Amino acid sequence: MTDPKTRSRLVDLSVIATSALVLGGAMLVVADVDRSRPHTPSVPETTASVAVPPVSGLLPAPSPTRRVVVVRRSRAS
Amino acid sequence: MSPVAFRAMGTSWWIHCDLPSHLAEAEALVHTLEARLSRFRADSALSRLNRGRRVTCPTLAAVTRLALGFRAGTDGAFDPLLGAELAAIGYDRSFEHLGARHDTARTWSGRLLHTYVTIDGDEVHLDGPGDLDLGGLAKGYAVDRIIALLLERGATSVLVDGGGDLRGAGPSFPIGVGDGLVVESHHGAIATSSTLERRWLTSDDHVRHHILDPHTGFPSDSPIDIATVIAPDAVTADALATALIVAPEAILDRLPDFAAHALVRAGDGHWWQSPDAPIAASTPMASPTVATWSKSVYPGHAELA
Repeated sequence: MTDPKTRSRLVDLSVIATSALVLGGAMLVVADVDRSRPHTPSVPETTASVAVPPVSGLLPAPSPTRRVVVVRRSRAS
Repeated sequence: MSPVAFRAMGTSWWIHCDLPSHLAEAEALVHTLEARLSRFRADSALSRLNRGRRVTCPTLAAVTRLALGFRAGTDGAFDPLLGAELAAIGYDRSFEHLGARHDTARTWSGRLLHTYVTIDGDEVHLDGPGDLDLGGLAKGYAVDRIIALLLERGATSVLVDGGGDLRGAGPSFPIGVGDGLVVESHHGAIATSSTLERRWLTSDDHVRHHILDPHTGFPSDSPIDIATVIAPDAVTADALATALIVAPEAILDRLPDFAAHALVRAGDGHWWQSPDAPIAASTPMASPTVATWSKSVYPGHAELA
């Protein structure tokens, strides 16, 4: 038989041990999740390339919004 | 039967008309004009002029007048007097018979053959060693003449494609230009010139193309490789499309003088347009009936000639 004081210390000890195990496990889970998240690749900083018109006074043509079906296709000359 | 498709002037023709009974007459008109204006037919009025330096032909006189007008209006960027230079660099027969690799028997030094043209009524006279070449302009002229002919016969819906020179009458037809873009035909005739077409390789691996710089007599070294022009008629659109390749900056400034607009592709593949050009991205309601550029732009799409 253990005396009440010793029993109380044993209970405290078991609570601390259980808490440590839970906390440690949680940290392992967090670390694992963190490791599996996608990392942003480190890319060197670049400046956006801006097309320059071949002749001043020209404006960019509209961008095509859909692919087209051509009934007849002619050739340039 | 409409449309009708045939070959003439070294290229393919396609004519739609709501009066199909007159399509044969339209086709015959193209062949007649070719017989008078072709540089590659020995019996044409143009060939007789280049050989004999003087010929009487109302059609040749009319088209030559137009050509000289465009030469003046473009400060020489469009020049119909480079026929001998063009032959000297290798374009000495119809392109259909030229082949991808071709050399000329003549040696070309790049010397320009200054030649003067006089038109007196229906007579055309050449003074100097050079030759007249009405190439693409004759095509545009033929397109305009077909439109006039079919409207005169009572047609109310016409669309003509003469090897990339396009013009409609009646209802507007969406015309494919550039890469997935559209111009409605009621805005005018549409013509495209390109240094990527009608090009060949010499035996010593020099690339030649048919658009010459009038200042050098050699193929133009342009920052633009495709030029599409929208103008009130096909002959104007054709002349300006060529001139725009040769002298982009000067011709861009002059487009308003001709009520014309342009779409060009730079050497890096980007497309550009003149301000206020009536060009739009194609939509489900405006998918082009005819497109003016080559297969590479519309890979894998249907082609029903």
